[in-house]
Amino acid sequence: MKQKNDDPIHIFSRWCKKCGICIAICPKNVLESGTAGYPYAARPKDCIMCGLCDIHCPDYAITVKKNSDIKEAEHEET
Amino acid sequence: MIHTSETMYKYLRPDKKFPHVWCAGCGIGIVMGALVRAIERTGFTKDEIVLVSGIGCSGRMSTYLDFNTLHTTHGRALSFATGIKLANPELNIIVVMGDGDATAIGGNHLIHTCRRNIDLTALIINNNIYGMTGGQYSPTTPMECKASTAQYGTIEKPFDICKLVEACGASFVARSTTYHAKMLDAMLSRAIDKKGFSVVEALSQCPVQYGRRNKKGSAVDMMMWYKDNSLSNPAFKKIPPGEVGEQFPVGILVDLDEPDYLERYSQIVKKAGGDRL
Amino acid sequence: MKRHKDLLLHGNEACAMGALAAGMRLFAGYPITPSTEIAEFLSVELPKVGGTFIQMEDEISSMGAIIGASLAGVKSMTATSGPGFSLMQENLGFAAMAEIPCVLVNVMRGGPSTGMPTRPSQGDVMQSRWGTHGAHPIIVLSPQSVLECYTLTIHAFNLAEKYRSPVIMLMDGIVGHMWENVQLPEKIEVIDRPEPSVPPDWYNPYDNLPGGEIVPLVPFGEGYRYHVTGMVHDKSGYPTLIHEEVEQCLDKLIYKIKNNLHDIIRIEEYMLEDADICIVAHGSVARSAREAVNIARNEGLKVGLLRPITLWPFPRFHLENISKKVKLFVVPEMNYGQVYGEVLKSCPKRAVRVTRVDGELVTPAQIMEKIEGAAL
Repeated sequence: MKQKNDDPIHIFSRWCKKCGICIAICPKNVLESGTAGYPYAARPKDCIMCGLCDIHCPDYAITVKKNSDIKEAEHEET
Repeated sequence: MIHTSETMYKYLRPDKKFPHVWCAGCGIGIVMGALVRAIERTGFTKDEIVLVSGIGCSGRMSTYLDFNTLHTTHGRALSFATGIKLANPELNIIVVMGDGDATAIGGNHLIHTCRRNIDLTALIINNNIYGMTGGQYSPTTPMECKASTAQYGTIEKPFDICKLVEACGASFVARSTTYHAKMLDAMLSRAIDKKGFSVVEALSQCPVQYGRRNKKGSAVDMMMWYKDNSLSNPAFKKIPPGEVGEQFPVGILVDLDEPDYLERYSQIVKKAGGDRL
Repeated sequence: MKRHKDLLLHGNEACAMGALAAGMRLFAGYPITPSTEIAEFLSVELPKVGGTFIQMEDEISSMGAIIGASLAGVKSMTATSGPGFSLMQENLGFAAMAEIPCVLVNVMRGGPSTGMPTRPSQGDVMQSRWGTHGAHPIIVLSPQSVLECYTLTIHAFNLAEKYRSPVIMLMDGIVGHMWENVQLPEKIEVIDRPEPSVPPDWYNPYDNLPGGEIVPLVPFGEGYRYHVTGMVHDKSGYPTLIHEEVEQCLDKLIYKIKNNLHDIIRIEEYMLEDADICIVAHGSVARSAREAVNIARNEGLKVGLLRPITLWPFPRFHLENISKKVKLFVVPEMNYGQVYGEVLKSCPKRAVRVTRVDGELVTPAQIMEKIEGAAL
């Protein structure tokens, strides 16, 4: 059971180096580059909580909110 | 799902400076995240883990993580790790090395550690370049690539690290990339649990020293290149030998069950009439 | 292993037995003449006592492995000769910098390079002191007999643990391969690694404690998680470039040895009380020197012997005291004059050397020649 969350994405800009990986890796095009180059959730409602941004951020600066009743999103890479 | 950022707080040393030292877009941070998730999954306590690293960009990893950590000399990480393992077999030892660290200056140690099959986990972060020293070519820099010491292009054939360690007798060999970060932590937890010498090669982008010089684009472009050129091992094997271009297999490549060094050594102790403490 | 009886042993064997008696339980080494018997002996004996013997792929990894073992709480040793010693310098520097107790045996052979594998030498006196890059003190011991190969190896482990430092047993090919009938001491002193006096959260492995007290090195895996690096580090072990911390880190290496010279330095004096001439010799050459003293005394010449047992730190103060009494120093060595240079530093213009580099021991006659030739 997938639950949509209003703003599940948390960005810790103090650690962010603006590499753009989270924006590119997001399968739902949720993130965009803001004015200072930091990512922000432009379409948070589209987030499926797959966690790809989380595991691909080299600086541990983005995470999606843990919600116990969210079914673990599955994704197959390759 | 293990949340990397939240999990990291459990394992990062709070007294170290963050963000970490690696350049924007560098894949080593992704690999470190995968390693932490893998360790979290294996369930070992911090005290049971020893993280040994060599020199170079990857060598910095040991400073950040809250385990028993040892930042050794260039290329020698496996030698130090061998001593630790033999002295205290209870410890789980993970050795983080770069491509130059593991296969150039440490090449001899790597092949012999494979041959001995000592129960260590080697994580070789391959970014095809010497990053820390400023972009000199490494044993894994592809042919005709530019490097600060190969301004006219490299003329040396690169190593295939996985093939190398397989030929030398490693018990477990796997490859993943920073694009396949989830697979990477799965490979790593398998490797940590594996008895015997395991090697996980993590292809990791160096957008600054390697990417820029060789027009590979941004960190994102380099990760997408991993996505586009990687194949599962069975799919890779189906490609006729002459037609393999830049493609490479990812996943588990070797998984053998063989007695490790300490198991064999206990036989020696028995023969000598001794008692292993 | 038999003890307390007369045993016919050679130096390398006695050294290995000393290591076992000191509690050494991991040996990592690479075959090299004339040290190989140490590895061979330990490959048989270590498994019997639950220890580990491993033959590594080279001397670099041998040194790495013993550092790793020591960090895991096991007393460890390697043995080599000149060319291998050169390869070990990199990780020897690491052990000095990271303050890891371990013992390195160098059974010296003729050099430079491959030199004369089967011929003895004392050519590594300076390499043992200055072989690594950067500056750090080191403890180097030089045995002259098979018995001393045993006792000094135990002493080497004790010093390593006490001062958290690598210690080098600098033997020469003659001492290593010499057979003697020895009676091993019944009682030996063995220093083990002390327990930490603070809980994990309070533990700083590189702390500067008042009075120069040395922080015990807690083995990996005992709940004291810390960082070990070859980089200049702060008190908790993390790399630093802050001027004060850099200075503290490097000064500490110097002072932990310098402030304890009285404890570390061992010498032997022979007939020096009324001597006009002092021979300074170590290792196998000291045996020739002792004989030369006897010959000279028979001839009515007032000759004595100073034998540095601790080669580094060099017993400079002893030498300076003796120099107030004697007119001349004669320094015989199986090299071109490495200890001679140190003697000159303490007593300029009043020292002569007797050198031999052809792979043979300096003879008493050669030393006598110099003594008789000296215009007193």
